[in-house]
Amino acid sequence: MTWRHVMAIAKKEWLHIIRDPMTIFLLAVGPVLMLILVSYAMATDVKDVPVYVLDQDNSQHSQNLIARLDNDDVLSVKGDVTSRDASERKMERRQAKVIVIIEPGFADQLSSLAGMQSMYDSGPAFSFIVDGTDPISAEVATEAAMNQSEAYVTGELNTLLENQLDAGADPTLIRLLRQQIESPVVFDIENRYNADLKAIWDLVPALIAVALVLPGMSIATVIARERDQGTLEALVATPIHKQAILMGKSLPYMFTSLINVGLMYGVARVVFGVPFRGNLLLYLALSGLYAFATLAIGLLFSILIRSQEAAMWSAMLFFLFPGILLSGMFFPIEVFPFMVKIETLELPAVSGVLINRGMFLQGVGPRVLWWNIILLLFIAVEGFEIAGRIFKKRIA
Amino acid sequence: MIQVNGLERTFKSWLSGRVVTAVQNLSLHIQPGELFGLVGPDGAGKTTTLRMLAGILKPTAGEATVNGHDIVKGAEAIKKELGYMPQQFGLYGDLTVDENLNFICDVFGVTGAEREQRIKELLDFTNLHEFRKRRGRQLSGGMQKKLGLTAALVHRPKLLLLDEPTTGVDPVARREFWDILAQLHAQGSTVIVSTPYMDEAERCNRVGLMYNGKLMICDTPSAIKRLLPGIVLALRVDDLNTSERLLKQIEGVIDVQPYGDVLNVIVQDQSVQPVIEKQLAQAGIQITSIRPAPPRMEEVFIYFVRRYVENHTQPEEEVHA
Repeated sequence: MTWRHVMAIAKKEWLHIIRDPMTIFLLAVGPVLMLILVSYAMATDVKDVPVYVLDQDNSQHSQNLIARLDNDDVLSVKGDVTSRDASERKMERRQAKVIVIIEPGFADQLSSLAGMQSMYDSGPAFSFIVDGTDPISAEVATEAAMNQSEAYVTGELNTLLENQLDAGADPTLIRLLRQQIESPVVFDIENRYNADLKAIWDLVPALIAVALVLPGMSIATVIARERDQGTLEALVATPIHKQAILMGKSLPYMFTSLINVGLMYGVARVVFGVPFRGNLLLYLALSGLYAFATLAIGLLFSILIRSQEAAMWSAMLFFLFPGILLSGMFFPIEVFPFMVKIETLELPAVSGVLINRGMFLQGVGPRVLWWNIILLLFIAVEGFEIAGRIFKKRIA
Repeated sequence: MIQVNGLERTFKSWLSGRVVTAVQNLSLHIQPGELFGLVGPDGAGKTTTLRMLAGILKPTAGEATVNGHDIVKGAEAIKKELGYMPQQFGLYGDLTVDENLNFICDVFGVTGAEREQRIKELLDFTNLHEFRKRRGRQLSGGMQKKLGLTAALVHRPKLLLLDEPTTGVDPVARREFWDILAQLHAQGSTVIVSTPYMDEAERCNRVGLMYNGKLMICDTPSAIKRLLPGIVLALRVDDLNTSERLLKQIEGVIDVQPYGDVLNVIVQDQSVQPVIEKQLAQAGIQITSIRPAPPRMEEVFIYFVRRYVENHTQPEEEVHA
């Protein structure tokens, strides 16, 4: 195997890539597009979030607040519950995303100076419970509920103070209280299941890893394409070492993968504001390793499956379905049955997701990720080794 | 240059389990500097033979050496000294002529001024200069074949294996192609070329006739033509079909082969001619002309194939053992 041969194949392969519009698209824009699309798809159109109310006050004020929440585009009041237990059950069954709990004495807080004082001293007599499993809608719903409640409470308190002033209350006291209501009321919001709601931080790094399977899918056709087009016969009749053919074919894909890592890193930081807490050089090195492992598996498909079409589809079935669903992006690997867990060992995406999340959010390094690094190294080296062994410079 | 002993290749269909013998017990010796033609119809085993010699297909039995290298153990060594041109366009359709040639030059380490010189020389030779920027798939069939040959010649190989380089090529381009091969032959290259066209066989210094996986005859074109047991009479008549049927019943007529508006009648000797004239006249058939013609490869080949088929009443079973 000589570098001249590797570069000869690499140069030629690069020409193929830039010549075929579909490949350019798949390689250059595919991963970034997938990242942006999927992220936004999960973030758009939050409306009619189901709300249930536990109204223990049963006053004009509580009715007004509920009506006001229902009027918001984001929220939709579906009904009442009669107890805390009932509200818990609604949330467990995913029928309620937001529970509004109005305690007895809510009307009182808005109708007397003493009540108002108690609200500022010990908090308002109503609170929210928000389901955090879908952090994006949870965040939007929380904000809407907070804004509506705050506007209602502030408006009512202003009216209360006006009325008190008209009734002959001390103007100095009213002025002081007016200043007080300018500082917002602190609501009690409990995010059930997910305390921080920064899911986008969790999702984007995972998607970076998952999006990088696209070059792995497109390399799955490279040998089959030569076979389909009849150029493989001439290629295997040259003295190029078979490992040089495989390496040369991988290099351009490796190159595009790394460019994609850079682009997606930028998108994650700038567009989604995801923090990066790890070592950037190490991250690039591990991303390269991850891309290499993915390409090794794509290459295996390419050699094993003889037609272009079939190779493409098999790679898609491998990479897209189990590769993404079992990658740990959507479901934690811990919940999988044991056999599935074993199977995920061969999926580079599993390690890719863990490395990306770990390095972006936790800022961890090899001390935590060593197992995944070894796994990826194994997949990459073994993948190429096996590919080299089964790829014959023969035509039958 | 090439020694082939009892070479055999079978293909087994994993679906039906049927075994097809593509090449059967092939023995052949080719000297350096020969322009050797492997001639036969489609499916005769020409491509399989050339692929085995190129080191890209393992034989199922027998052995062969190319430049002293075994075709199995020394396959990679063979490839270094080989210019192989597959039947199908083996270059890249989405790459231009220049890009394709540069790739091959990269592979064989032809660099710098030598590369410039070599590509220019070969493009002059094959008349492809004005198409250097054209993509492979936009070339005509004939030009693709020429590009394939150019690519096979880049590294000045000791041996050229050309698999049906003129199939699908127009007659003018075919002639040009053979002129190029003749020049290569004159320069001392060893060239093995397969073709289904009998007229092309005449331009080789030695010819192997292949049929049904077997090498039937292997000799110089003139020697092969002498194998014909008799002479050829070219006969023009007004009723080809009736004449052909009548002629086959005449004693001393070995074979009748229609060729356009001519019947090529292979007869034992000149004495059969008057018999033919008499019989046809009796049947009321008008003979426009009848004269002895020099035998061509075509007549010889068809004669031998017919004889082979007659001797193997069930050739299918025989071959697909």
